[in-house]
Amino acid sequence: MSQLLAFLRRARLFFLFLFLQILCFVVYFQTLVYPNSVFISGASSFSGTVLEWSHDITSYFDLDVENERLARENAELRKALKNSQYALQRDSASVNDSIFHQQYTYISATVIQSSCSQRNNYFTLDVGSLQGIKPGMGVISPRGVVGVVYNVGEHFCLVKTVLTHENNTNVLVGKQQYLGILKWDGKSPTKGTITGVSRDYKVSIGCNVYTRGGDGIYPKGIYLGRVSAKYPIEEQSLWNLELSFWEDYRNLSAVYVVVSPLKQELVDLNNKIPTDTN
Amino acid sequence: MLYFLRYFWYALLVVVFQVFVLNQLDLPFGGQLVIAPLFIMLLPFDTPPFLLLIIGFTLGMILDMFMNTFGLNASALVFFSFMRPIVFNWFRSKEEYDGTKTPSIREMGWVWFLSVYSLLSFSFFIWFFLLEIFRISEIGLILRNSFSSFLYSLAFTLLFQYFYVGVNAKK
Repeated sequence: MSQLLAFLRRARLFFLFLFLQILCFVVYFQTLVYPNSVFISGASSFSGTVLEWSHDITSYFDLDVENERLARENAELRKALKNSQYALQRDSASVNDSIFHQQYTYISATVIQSSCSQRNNYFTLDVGSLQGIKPGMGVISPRGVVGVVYNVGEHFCLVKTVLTHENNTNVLVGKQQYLGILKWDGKSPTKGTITGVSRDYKVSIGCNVYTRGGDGIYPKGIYLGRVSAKYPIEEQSLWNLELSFWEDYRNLSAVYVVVSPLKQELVDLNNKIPTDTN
Repeated sequence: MLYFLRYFWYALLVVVFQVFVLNQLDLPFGGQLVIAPLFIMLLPFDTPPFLLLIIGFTLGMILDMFMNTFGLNASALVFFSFMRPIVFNWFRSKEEYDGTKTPSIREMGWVWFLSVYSLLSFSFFIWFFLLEIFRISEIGLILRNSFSSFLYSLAFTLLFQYFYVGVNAKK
């Protein structure tokens, strides 16, 4: 017994090290796998408030750039308005609004903390459950897709961005709309990788990439960037496409959280797909 | 008490500078400039090892709260704190370390500091990126990020010691 006690006394430092490491691992993997706590993240009320103060101060330095970005987006939106367009078919110009149902609404938000140098990059936004934010909602910016809401506090939320290892976003490539999956290899915040496009398809360098939509997260057709290079995957008949993001995630401030009132219906329907139990 | 307050103030500065300045830098080759290991490194020789672990864990968790890294910094800083006395022992010269001194370039000289800090710092980054990337198949990325981060942090450390601490290196 005394030998055991002596051993424990000798190794107590190692046990403390082990205990603290286990604690860190539990926090790390539990947050990654089951994002149910916002305590050790920028979405906790303490760190979120401090980050918001800091953003309030530093945002003044970027006002010019941000104004320019929003003005450009406004111009794009104005261009898309119906009264900015010339009706080719005058006979069918009237639109009955009752045949449309609002599929997406948007909540504006500000990025108060971001990083692009990690392997998995999470952004903190200044909106939370009080504003109706829920995990799984999409987040877009004026120039692309940002990510999916991962974890929500009362006043802040955490977004798992497209610059993370396991964020697979369905995209359409080119005018022919070839289906692919956007991934990130962790090397550059300006480049993504698109996999899943068959080599039977002729993909040209410079063609545009859009969101596929249909998953209740992002609307269809949000422009992400252009294909900047293509490489055949060895031993597979697939292309590995390099995507140059249009959005500069290193200087992102104004974003929109996508609310999809029809998403639950979509999820319920998908849950009814019979699974193969064999 | 004064001694405690001084290091508490340094730790606060480290967190603020790391979160609001260094994290905003966009460095090439996946590198990050991390200064928390330097804080642990510069604690006096007579800091008890268990206290080093607690300080590393607390500082790391605070950084994780602001950086959305969920325990990565805490784990790597606990590893750094655990290794510090061990590596110090490896590089011990014939005489004992003076407990009242700090392990800086001014007190210990260039060769000792560079050897000890390089080893500790590189291990810190290897641990950090191994845990973050968590795939042996991406060992190239782990090594690239670790090496570039190590170089940035070492360059910052040397500049910091030169301009702030003052280098009257031991001859």
